[in-house]
Amino acid sequence: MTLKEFRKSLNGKEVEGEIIKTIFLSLLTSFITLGILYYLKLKYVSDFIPKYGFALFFAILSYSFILPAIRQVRAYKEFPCMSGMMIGMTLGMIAGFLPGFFIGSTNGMFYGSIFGMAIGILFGTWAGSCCGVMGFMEGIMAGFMGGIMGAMTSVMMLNDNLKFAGIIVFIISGVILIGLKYMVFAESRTLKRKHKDSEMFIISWSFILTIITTWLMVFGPRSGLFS
Amino acid sequence: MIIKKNALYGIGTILIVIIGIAFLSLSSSKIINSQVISNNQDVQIIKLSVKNGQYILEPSKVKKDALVRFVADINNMPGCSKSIRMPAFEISKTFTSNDNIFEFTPDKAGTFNIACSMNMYKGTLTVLESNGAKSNYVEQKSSAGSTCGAGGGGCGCGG
Repeated sequence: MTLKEFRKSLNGKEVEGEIIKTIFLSLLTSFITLGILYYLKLKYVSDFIPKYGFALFFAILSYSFILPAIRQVRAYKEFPCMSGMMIGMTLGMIAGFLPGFFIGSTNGMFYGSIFGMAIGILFGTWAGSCCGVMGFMEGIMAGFMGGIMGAMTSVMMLNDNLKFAGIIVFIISGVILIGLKYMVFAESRTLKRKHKDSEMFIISWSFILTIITTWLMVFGPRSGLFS
Repeated sequence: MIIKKNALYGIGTILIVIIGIAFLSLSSSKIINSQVISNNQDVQIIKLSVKNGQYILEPSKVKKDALVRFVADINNMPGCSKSIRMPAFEISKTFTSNDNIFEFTPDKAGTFNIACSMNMYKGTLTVLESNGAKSNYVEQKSSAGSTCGAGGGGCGCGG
């Protein structure tokens, strides 16, 4: 199973053929939502773009990378428990770390950690539960660790090239998620598709995550360092 | 047909990202780390140092609407205490041995919190009204603890 075959499958009719479309739909939904919110409410928030633009932009990009992986795992439903552990761990960690990092940089460590842990544990257990209790447990552990680590990293870097760190963290997480998608592809060659999520699955999740993240960043509670 | 569709989605994705980046970069970015050294004789100079895990400001009272100059005693500021934040005035500054001065003009009176970037070292600055009267406003202290443990210098912050 080579990378070339995976690349070819991105243009195919199977599950992997939906990945690019899913990223596009997620980004489109999030940016339309954000655009509407901006013209209705957020443009009246002082310094909205300088204060929150960067973190919000990368949080939305992060969701557009995480959601296709969830959709891909859900399509096959069952994997060996070893693969399930890797799926739960990777998705929990990345889905916890990235939101934790970007919320941590605007709201502080406590709220960044809580939000990161919530998203990480939710997606980690959801994806990991495809493959038994070990995947489920890995999802909880990785989501918990990723959420705290993401927020802690961003707060520690507040006065030290936080934006560059955010870009580097995002690129590395993106590469890890592409690796996960390849792993799921390689592990699923003997499996048949068992489930198909509609486009509304991606649209509604992107919408919900964008709304929650925007509200939390702009109007949500924040620690003393950011109040 | 599928190939063409996915190529279109790919181009669409890249376009959205480019538009997002352009929107971000075109919007004016606010510089909060600015430093202007003025020759104004009326400048209020505050010496900033750290003692027993607390910021010491000498003097700790300044007047509103008059230029304030922080001069950091960098030798007495361990670890992350070199990196200060004053949320009330949107100040975020990291002092180094070559860059230990920061100026700003307080535009509101009251008692305001100052903390290191990890919320570990803390102190307060009192800004009096322009006529020297003390304002009753006291900024609420952060209910959350320090980012890296209790004030004594845990997890490598203590320098």
